[in-house]
Amino acid sequence: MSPAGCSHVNGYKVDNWKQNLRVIYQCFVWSGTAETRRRKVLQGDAGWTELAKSCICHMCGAHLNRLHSCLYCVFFGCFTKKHIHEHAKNKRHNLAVDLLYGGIYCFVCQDYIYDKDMEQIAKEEQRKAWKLQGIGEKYTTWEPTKRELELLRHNPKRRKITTNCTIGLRGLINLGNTCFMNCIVQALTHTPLLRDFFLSDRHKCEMQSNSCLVCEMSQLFQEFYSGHRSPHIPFRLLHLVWTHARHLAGYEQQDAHEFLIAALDVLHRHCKGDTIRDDNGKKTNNPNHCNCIIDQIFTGGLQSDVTCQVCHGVSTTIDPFWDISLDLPGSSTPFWPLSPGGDGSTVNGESHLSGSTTLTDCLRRFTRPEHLGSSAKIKCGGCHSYQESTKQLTMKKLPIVACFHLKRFEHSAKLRRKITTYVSFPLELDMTPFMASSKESRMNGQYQQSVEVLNNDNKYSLFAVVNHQGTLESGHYTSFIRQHKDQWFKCDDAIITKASIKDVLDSEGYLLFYHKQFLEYE
Amino acid sequence: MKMEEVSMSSLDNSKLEALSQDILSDLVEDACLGLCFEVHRAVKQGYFFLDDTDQESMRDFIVDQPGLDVFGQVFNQWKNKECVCPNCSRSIAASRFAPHLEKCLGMGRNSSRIANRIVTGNNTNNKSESDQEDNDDVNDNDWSYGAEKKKKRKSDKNPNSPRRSKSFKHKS
Repeated sequence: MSPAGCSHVNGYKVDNWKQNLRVIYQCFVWSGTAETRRRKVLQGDAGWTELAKSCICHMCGAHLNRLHSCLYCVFFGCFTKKHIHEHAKNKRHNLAVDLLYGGIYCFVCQDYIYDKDMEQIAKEEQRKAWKLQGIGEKYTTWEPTKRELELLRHNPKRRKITTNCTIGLRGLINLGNTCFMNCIVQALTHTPLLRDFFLSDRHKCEMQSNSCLVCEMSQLFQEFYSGHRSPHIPFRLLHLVWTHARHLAGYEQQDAHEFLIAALDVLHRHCKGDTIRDDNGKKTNNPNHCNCIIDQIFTGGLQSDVTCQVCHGVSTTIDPFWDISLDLPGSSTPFWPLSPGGDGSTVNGESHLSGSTTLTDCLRRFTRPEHLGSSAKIKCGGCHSYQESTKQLTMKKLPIVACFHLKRFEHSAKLRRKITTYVSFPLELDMTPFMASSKESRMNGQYQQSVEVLNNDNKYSLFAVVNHQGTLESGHYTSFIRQHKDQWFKCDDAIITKASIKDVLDSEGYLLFYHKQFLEYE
Repeated sequence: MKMEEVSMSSLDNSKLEALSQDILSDLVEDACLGLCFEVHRAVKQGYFFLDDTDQESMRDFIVDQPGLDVFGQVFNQWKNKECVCPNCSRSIAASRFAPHLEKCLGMGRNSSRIANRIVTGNNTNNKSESDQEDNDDVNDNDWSYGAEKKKKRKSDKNPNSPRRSKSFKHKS
């Protein structure tokens, strides 16, 4: 018996009380809408419908005034005029339920009580009603268990994150030109879903040794939220990444993008302990269908359609991706000239200084149909011979966090240089035009309706930018990260300073991190 | 208030105004009641105290002044940080940890060369080994893309390969 319940409910919890309680909740509390009442008619519960319409005080006819329903019999009484109290006294029916919020009132205790079993039923009925109404799952705040309450009482030191506090910000010491690593760490520690995963201690380590990178990541979040003002020294992180990603030896490790991919890969490999178990309790350890936090957040699906120019048969493959690498104008690969002000360029609200390239331009180029040429004929399954074809990439599945990599470092055989072309990127990005589904509807002749704009599923917000200053030979990485929705900060190794949105959007941009705006419960 | 059917068309503006005011005040009252229930439950279930915070954490406000970071600290005061290498357990200056670790783990181009020489038992060239030591110190400062350019005259022809040491082994 929970401390907030009362002994008086024991008299009620007999026979078929659970079913009776359910019916009360279904008809009078959570199904107050005409919709559900109509449904009850269709289901043939005509008797209950009549009663549902009669949700008024049996004594004064009021339909508001905090109407309560007696739990023992069919009686409605208002609370304000104490009509339900009278009924309780007269009939010795000591329990009633508030029809607005579903709370149970005990007339002996003269207070609302919270009984675990009864609340369980109430919650289930509420969920059912939401589902019927088409609302689906609603967010409910976290409630601590008894054990958690005990722990919290014994540990009164608590940090409240208000908009103007520095919790969550921390500098990072440069270990010897490791600014590339520091920027990635700043981006990852400010990825909301990743932060929530680690701060709620969701990683269950199954590695025997001390070399789990996910554990180190967890430790990193503890450091960032510790409230310490001195910069953190990420030497253990560097050691772990280098021991698990040996290919980062030499010069390759200088690239922040390379480091990001390597770090995500190691984290993904070390996440084995957190994979979801299927219905039989077996681990779904299929490497192609991993459900670790890294895959949940970063993995998207890229669709590649190769169309035979002769029979128009399409061969489709879908590959997973963690980032999108975009070619820039000025590189040795030709950039398809796109007319400024064409459709979509105003959708994302990028500052379109005359002639400057936008991120949307790069994405349009990335998803354009590309003629593969006579020297690259594909074996067509339909024609049974080699034919010329076009290839097109589109997004099949968008990740929760989309990372765009602007290919500024050119490493071709003849030249090595940095492309410093300014590319403007937006604060809010709509990926709808680049989706595989959009391409399909375009091909079927349905041009983008205004409904597409209302589709919130593909809307993203910028939350981190990694920049590279300098030349290919000697440069420095810094990053901008977003906190508390509209506050931006510049992270230059150990120095964290406040930045304006203008600072962020005017920067060159090398790695751009976008987070989905709306997340649905599954 | 008793519920009654009212035809909307029979109402004039002032009546409609009054009706909407009634509806609004009902909604506000219901919302307040909801909040009361939330607090009531939190107190009864014993988790109302969770909102309390310790005074210390309420002092960390973001600073936005030139020359200071968000914590109100002066830039560049973190000069003498040290850390313990997880590989060799020596205490290393934090700002030189990366080049140290590269050699310590045997991952860098130079450390591989030394290691290979030791492994293949090639001790003929003592002189070049001491040259190697000097190069290591130079390496510590040259941690950038440009380093290989300066060393081109000393090293073999393929500066991009991390496996440069392998070709060296084949040479001898």
